Amino acid sequence: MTVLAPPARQEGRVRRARRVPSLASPALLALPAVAFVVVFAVFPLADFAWRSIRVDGSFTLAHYRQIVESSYFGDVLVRTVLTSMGVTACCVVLGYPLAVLLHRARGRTKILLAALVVLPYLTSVLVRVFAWSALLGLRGPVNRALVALGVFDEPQQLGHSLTGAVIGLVHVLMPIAVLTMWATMSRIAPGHEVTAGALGASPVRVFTSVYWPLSRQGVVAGALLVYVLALGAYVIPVALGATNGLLFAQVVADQATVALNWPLAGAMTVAMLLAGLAPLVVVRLARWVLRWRRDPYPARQRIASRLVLPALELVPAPVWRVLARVLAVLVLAFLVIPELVVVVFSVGPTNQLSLPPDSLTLDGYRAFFADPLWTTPMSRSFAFAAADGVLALVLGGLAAYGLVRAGGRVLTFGLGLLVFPLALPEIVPALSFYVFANRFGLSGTPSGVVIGQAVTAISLAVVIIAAVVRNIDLDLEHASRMSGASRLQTLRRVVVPLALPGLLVGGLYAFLNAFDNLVLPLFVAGLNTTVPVRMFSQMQDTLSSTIAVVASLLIALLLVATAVAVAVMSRAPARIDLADVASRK
Amino acid sequence: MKSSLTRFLAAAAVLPAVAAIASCGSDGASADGGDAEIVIARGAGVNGAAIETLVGEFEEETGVEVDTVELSDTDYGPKMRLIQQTGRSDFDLAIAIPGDIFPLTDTDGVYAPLDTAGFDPEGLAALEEAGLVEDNHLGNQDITPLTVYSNEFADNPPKTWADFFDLEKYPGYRGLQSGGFGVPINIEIALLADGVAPADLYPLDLDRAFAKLDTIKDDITLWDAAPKSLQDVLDGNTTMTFTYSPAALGAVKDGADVGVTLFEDAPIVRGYAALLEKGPNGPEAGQQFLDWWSKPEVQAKYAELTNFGIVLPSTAVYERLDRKDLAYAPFVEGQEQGSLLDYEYYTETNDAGVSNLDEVLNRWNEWRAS
Repeated sequence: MTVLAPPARQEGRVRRARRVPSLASPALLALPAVAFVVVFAVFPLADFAWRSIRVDGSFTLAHYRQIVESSYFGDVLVRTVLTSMGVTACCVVLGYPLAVLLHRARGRTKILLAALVVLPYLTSVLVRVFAWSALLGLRGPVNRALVALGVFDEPQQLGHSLTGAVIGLVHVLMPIAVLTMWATMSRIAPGHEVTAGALGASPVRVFTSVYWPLSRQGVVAGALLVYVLALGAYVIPVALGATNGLLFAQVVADQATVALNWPLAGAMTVAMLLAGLAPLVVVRLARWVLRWRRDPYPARQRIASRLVLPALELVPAPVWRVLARVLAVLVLAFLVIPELVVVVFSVGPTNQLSLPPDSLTLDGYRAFFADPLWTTPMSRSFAFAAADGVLALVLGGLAAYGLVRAGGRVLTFGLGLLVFPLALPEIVPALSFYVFANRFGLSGTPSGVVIGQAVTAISLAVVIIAAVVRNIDLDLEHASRMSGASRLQTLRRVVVPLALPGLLVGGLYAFLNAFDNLVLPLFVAGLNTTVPVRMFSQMQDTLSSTIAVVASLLIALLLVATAVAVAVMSRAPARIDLADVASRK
Repeated sequence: MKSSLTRFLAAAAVLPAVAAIASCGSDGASADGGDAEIVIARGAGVNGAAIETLVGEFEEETGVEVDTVELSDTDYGPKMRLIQQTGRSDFDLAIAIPGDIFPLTDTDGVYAPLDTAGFDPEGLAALEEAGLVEDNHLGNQDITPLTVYSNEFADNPPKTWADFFDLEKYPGYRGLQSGGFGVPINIEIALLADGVAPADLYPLDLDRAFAKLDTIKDDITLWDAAPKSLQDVLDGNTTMTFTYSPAALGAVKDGADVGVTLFEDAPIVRGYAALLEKGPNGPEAGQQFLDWWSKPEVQAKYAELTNFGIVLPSTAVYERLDRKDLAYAPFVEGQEQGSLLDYEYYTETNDAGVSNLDEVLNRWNEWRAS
């Protein structure tokens, strides 16, 4: 099977030619997920936004006028969009080498690396804020190092600065970027690189002509996810940001929860969505203009092949490899160090979240296991998140496959619809879902929590899985169908195995996202308190190390799972590469 | 090549699922209490825990079954607003709802009238003397913004809000709250520091407040939840911060190496207890708890448990308490009294058609954005 041509373009041509129709209408597969998100997120949100123009039975644009006339709201929107773009750039650029390292690693190393990348995601932002605060504080290790190195003359307030907010956000969102990119890379068969090299391409060229085009979908998907999630982030920028660094989420949260001016909060959300969309529209327009010029060999490519490539090739390939590896390791350290701080917190005094702890004790753990107010929510959170993970895996997997195979506008529109709830500051979807759940008697019930949490879980899963499905060669499915396999058989025997990394990462993230959801259960859970809600109320008044204990227990759980996987793997016979299996079909 | 990772990820996915299935059974059963005779919504944190303890005693004494719902600073406002909009409530009584939310949601049909006939006579007299009994709510607890400072100032501790703004005498960063109802407190602190008498605070002179805040703007760091404000002082990020009494006193109790002081005229946050008109068991159910709640010994116990909330500033309560525990309580006889945040003022609509609270939040955001 020949697969060396850039697959993105080839796939596009195949799709347009419609040589063999794969499914009557693949978009139908997306219906369950779309229906779910429309009913439980889009409708409540639209209802919420509707009330920003219809107040007390009459139409008004007063709230929008208030926004337009506001002397600061525009600044806040611009700052929020720019910060999100910066965070996205950091996550994608710094995360790419780590994704490559993850892709290239084998066996136990790979398992360990994956575990380390996922690790930060297990830690609630509520405790991460304290870890970063301890690291970035005036007397913290980062400041001390920077002063010793002569970067600063005196310690800087890093833990209350734009830098602090960006660092915190990058730490939260980097795992999503890395795993999304990795999931796509996992479809790059090693044979491609070997062949390209054998045909005389330099390592730099192998990267730019083979590796990069094949991983681009993952970069785009990762960037999109990070960008939308950064737009709505609340806890991190509020805790680590600067006095003069006001971001959107705080403004809307104050309107929604303090001033209780819901119409204004709705209007602000609409404005935010438009502002957040602007950069995406600009990119889209730029691409459209480029395509419209129909330049078969655009200037960008001319510059790349005549100037950039030769310049890059001046540096010997091993140097590139070492540089990438060093960067990847540094990023990994960046991800893991705050987690170590959290573990240190957990064995410190129960009323302290400082470095270094005054004394070491296991009191925090003892208190946790003795208290049903912690253990009950813990098992409940697992149950809710597992249900959400399964829901997201099934609905999200079907939707991702259906949308990608439908392609074109259906893909753009469907993906946009499923993803936009992620871009809103959590408080807005949570509040609108709460109003909705209250109306239909879902509020305070376990199913209310599961359904509410499933919305973001499904959105995340769809983006991650779709990035992988996009890289699955349609020819493989055609081949399978022509060899007499039914559609279902094709899905089961060809598509699912090929998309497996994406399915697993998507499902895992959906589970973790639901497990970590704070704001939605805060409103909807009622008596069914979950762990994040419990953490939040615990941290309302006084310092307590219990949140660090919870985080450390989850870290321990992940490490145990890793150890089990390593043990199982070293006993099982080596298995054949999935891509090989696929290409042999 | 992917097999190993795949297996690992599968294990990572299966483990929680197994745990989930294992826990599902027990979970479903306890999900809805359902048949409680009273459902009480209480705050989170220290005062919430105190009420939880007292509810246990109430159940033991009366045999009445009570469920409690926890409300945090983030969700109680929206929940009250939704009750106001839909007329449906999941609980019969809200206790320790901060005063800010009460006037914002106090419209016909939300809160039921209060019946003091069943109150403990001694407690009722004390409540009335303190002016805490209103038609549809009961003054319930008070939290003071205390000032926590680094112990490097132990020899010459700050004494006034003016000291809070004095960066020469007390070098270092200052902590204020980033949003929410901390914003009106920030404004009032600035005005008090600038020499405005507590009696002359309202209507707020916002220009004057922000001019005062400008004098230390570069040295202000913001916190969202009170524990963070304390951590900032402990970690050396700030040398002085305003924070709420539970966080400050909790730290003192735990022996934290910081100074705590109650400035004269600190703006005080008032809490309320109110019966919901349309709770699941009706207002009478909650009334039963309030009757019990009005006993001075219950009030004394509450003050003891919280270590800050003097619900009932009267001798009936004081004589049951150890006075040395009350050093930071806002209302204690013989101690200088602070000034209450005027929630009615913040709820009023100003000439521009927005509430004074909205105006204050807007100006604060504008100040932060500039």
